[in-house]
Amino acid sequence: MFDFEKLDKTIHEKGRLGIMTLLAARPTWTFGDLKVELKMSDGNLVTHLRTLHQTGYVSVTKEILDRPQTSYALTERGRKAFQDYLSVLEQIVKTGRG
Amino acid sequence: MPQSSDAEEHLRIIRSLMEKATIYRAISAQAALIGGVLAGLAGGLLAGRNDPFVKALSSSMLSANAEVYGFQLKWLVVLLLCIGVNLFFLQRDAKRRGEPFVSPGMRAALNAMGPALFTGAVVTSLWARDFLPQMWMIFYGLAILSTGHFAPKSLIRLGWAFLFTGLILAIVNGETYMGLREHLPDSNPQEPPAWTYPDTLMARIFGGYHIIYALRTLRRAPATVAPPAA
Repeated sequence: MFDFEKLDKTIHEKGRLGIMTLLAARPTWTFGDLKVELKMSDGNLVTHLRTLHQTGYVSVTKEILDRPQTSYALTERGRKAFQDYLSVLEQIVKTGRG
Repeated sequence: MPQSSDAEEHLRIIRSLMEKATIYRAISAQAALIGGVLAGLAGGLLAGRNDPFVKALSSSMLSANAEVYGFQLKWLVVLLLCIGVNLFFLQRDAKRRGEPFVSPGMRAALNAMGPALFTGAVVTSLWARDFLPQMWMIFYGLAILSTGHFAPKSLIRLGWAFLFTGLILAIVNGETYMGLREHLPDSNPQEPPAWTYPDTLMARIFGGYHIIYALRTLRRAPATVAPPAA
């Protein structure tokens, strides 16, 4: 029987899973790009990003280019957590099929 | 407790988002807008008797040859300007996303578009001037469609639009159906007209389609703003 406690609950929520996936696919994402891609409200996205930031999975960079811009990236810890999460999901699927 | 189906659903979400994240827009909307305006100016204002490229070449060769080479030279200059502008905006976008300029997406786009663009360049020397815009549309459309696996939908639609328009105009004489002689009358019948059919096609189709693509894409572009204070 598979130990479901191994699943990272922070990432398992669908909104945060979407954020982590996009950040794993590309080095940095602006707030605007994440919002468009995930079709989330500002409040929802801010809440999830804050949770991921507090967990240490996501780093935040604020800079002034043409206008103020905030970008997000996975930390090393976040990347490792995401890879572990994927492995656990794969094991669940394999266990289910087996 | 998560079930196998739940895990599969999460993996499906991950795969779908990963695919979205790897979409590469080989033609920047801003560059398309500038290119569209340039095509409109080159094909609309710098055509016929006002074409500086044909005028410059007329002194050194037969006027029929000057018309052909002048046309090719003018649109080569427009093409190079558009490529330069596109590279500038692609580089800016890559920097904003924290990606290298020559990203895997750009390499994939160049590999995909290369054969159709190369063929289009080669056949440029084979066809008469009046048939070149249609051929360019066809090969340009094919080049864009070659990026279909990782291009956004708007770009794929642009590719189909060029391909179909090029094919239709290769079969049908657009000069008759567009009523160019009625809409673009010659102010001075003693001189050559201030327009040519190929230039008009380039201005209307290349210019027009790029401007439409740019405006539709820019309207949906994400805002680069900071998140609201929580």
